[in-house]
Amino acid sequence: MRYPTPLLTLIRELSRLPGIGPKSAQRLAFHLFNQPTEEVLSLARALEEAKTGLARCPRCAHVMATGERACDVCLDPDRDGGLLCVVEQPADVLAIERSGEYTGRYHVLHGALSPMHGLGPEQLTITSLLERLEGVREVVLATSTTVEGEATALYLAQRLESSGVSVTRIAYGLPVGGDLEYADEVTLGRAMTHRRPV
Amino acid sequence: MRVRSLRQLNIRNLVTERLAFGDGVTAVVGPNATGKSNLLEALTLGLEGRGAGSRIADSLRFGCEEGYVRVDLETSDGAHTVEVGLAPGHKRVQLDGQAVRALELGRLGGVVLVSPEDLDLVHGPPARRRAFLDHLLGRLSLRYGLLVRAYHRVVDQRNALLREGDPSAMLATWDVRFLALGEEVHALRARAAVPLAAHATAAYDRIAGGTHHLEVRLERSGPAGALAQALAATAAAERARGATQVGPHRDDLALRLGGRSLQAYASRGEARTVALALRVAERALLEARHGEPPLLLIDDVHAELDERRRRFLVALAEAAPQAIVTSTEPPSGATRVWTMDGGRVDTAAIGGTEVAGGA
Repeated sequence: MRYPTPLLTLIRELSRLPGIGPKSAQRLAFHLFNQPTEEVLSLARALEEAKTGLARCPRCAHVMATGERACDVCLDPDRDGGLLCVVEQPADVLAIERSGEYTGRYHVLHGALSPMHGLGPEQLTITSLLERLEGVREVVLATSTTVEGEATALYLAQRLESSGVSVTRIAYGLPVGGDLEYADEVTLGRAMTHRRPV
Repeated sequence: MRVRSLRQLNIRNLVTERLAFGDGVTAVVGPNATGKSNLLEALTLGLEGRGAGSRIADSLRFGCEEGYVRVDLETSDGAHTVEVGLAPGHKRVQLDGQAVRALELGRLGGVVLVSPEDLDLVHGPPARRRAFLDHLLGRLSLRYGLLVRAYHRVVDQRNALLREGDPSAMLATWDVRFLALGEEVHALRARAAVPLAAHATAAYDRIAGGTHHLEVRLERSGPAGALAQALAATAAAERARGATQVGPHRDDLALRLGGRSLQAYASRGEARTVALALRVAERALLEARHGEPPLLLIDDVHAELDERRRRFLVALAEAAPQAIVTSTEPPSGATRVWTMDGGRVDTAAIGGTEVAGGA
């Protein structure tokens, strides 16, 4: 027998999400089917509001509520406007914010350079980054250490070279609280290469 | 490294779920297509986190969605447990209860598998020898394993760019990464190729005892000189073909005997001896790196019809702290002989050890 159309549609839509295969989609679909109507409707509303209620900050491209002038970080007058941290995803902003160590502003690229996936500079928010360098003295490149993240950092460093702004890359090394003995040799090797005077 | 026990579920045609291994030579004897090679594959899977096939599903029992291997082993620094969970397109590797990358299992000391398919090392395309080199170096250095993976990713990204209409603007960025990683991969390969060649040449002399000497040399692809120059010289060709024409992904481990290229001209016997010499060299490098011999697996020892090579193989197994050898008939020098039929191992045959229960 064939599944009813609404179920097939739901499975198809769910399986388009990252990390969800056809089997997981099917499991989720049946799970939703067995939930109380109110909970499912609440999920549907949340999905809708996440899309209609959120927008990109016009300055840094971080997420913000629709209708705001800018995101919380950009509106915060206590932030150091001379320091700009470039990250790949909005989630990276939250991660750095949790550290509580960073007082500057952000710029979210919404991805990294990846020709295989058709992602070039035009698909990222690089133009708007280059347009907001007024008053910035340092750009911290905090893209990930993947092949794509490194290439993106390199590309940005090349593009920023003529701007006169100082460009830095976040350091990588040992996790805090980690035992040297349990660090893999690559992390340890990098930590050794990027050692600094105390 | 010595294996103490193997547990498996849904790996190929294996039925026996638990096996305990002792030191010395364990011979697994049975007719063809009874699962002897699959037993070696289950061990390799548990010790390296990778099977013989390129896809995970290749290692699973036909029609099964999930599989599991657990290996308890002992190295010079103590006892360890590796668990590998398999599902189509998904693999989970744990070392002593901690999730790790499969590459990190290299620190356990490694496995050397000698099999009839090794003929490919000689007669096969350069890709086969690059795979041998990358597999070996990945177990000598985790950095190499991660580096070569990143390098391939950069090549793929660069090739995607070359297939676009006008790649020039972005190519400069990717070239910087390509050249940096490419030169590093080459440098590490070149450094390892020296002792590899020395061990392989010596082993060839020991096995063949002939007048010609085996020459093993890392050969760069494309025009001579640094990678940057070779890349510049092939700019037109790579755009026409939409693929990077030079670099470690095109290099070869050239094998010559008395100045003659073996890929095209080796006789079957020569090819077998050369392949065996490469395995001996692999074993020597792993031993030097980890301070103890790797586990030795020999698939189908009687496929080796040449008396001289067979004696060498048997001696190699006997000299190892632990070797597991499959064969269609009982080989000489075995500490214990198990029989295998229909994916089931019978350890009670001759001097066998039976596993009772187990945690």
